[in-house]
Amino acid sequence: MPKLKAKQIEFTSVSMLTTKSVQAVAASFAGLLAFINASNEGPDVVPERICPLEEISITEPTGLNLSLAVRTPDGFHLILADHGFATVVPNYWSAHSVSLPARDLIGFDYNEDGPYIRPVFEVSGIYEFYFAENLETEPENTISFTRRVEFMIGSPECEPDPSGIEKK
Amino acid sequence: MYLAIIGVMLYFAGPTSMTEGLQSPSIGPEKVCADTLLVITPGLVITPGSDISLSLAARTFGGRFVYLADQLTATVIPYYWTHSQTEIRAGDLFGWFYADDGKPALLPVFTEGGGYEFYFSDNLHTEPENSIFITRRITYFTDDDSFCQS
Repeated sequence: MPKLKAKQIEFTSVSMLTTKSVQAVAASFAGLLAFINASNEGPDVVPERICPLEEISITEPTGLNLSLAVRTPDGFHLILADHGFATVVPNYWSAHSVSLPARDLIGFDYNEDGPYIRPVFEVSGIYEFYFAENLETEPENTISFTRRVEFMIGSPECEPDPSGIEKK
Repeated sequence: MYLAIIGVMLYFAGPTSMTEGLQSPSIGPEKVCADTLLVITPGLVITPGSDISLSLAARTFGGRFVYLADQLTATVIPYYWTHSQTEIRAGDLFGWFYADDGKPALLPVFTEGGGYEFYFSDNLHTEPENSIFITRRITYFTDDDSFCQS
């Protein structure tokens, strides 16, 4: 009987410990989400509508070192910052916020000839910026954020572009 | 006497107050073919505040200075900043540079057979004498060279 009691105590304390651990992890995760949501300091790309001559700002303040990629309206998936491939946004990992002219934002990818780079903004349309802990898995398997930016060429809202990017 | 002791103490204390040590970088082997796996150890400047990883650049056969891993421009070597050692096939090594029109471009590092220099530095954007600058040399052999066929 005393043995049973000891086992019961042991079991109870182990289950209490486990429960506490789960509670601690859940609280930490909830805290992290609360921080990101409540402080409205999730990763961001602004402005939401951008002209060729304007500056784009990329902010990743979470401290989670999220990688970044973009899907262009003409079907390219370009890597902007990923430790496992390449980082082509200057200072992305060392600064919480990076601003650069839209025309200078470069993306990286591979094709049959090897790696290549190209300007991100080449055609008008919606660009989806995807921040994630892991770019190579489904969004539901990783912490991820999507931000949409509309790039406008030849819009009356934009200054004329002297570089003559083709109007598409 | 006391001044001499203080002088000696300052002499030894001076350099270590800024940089406590250097974890030497490396890239190798010294002789490679396109299919050789290059092993890169980025190296580290150990300071009292925080450690600084060394950036890496190379000079191509045509003499162009290309960035391989640099926070201020681009990093095109996988896991360079996150792993103490990273590997890449020599034939897959590309460098980042700015063309004459100011636009960035990629260039394969190894093209012709011969010697190539690689530069590890805490600041690739200043003169070598103003920064930590460590040079390593690698000899590249093309696939038709007997070295690569053996």
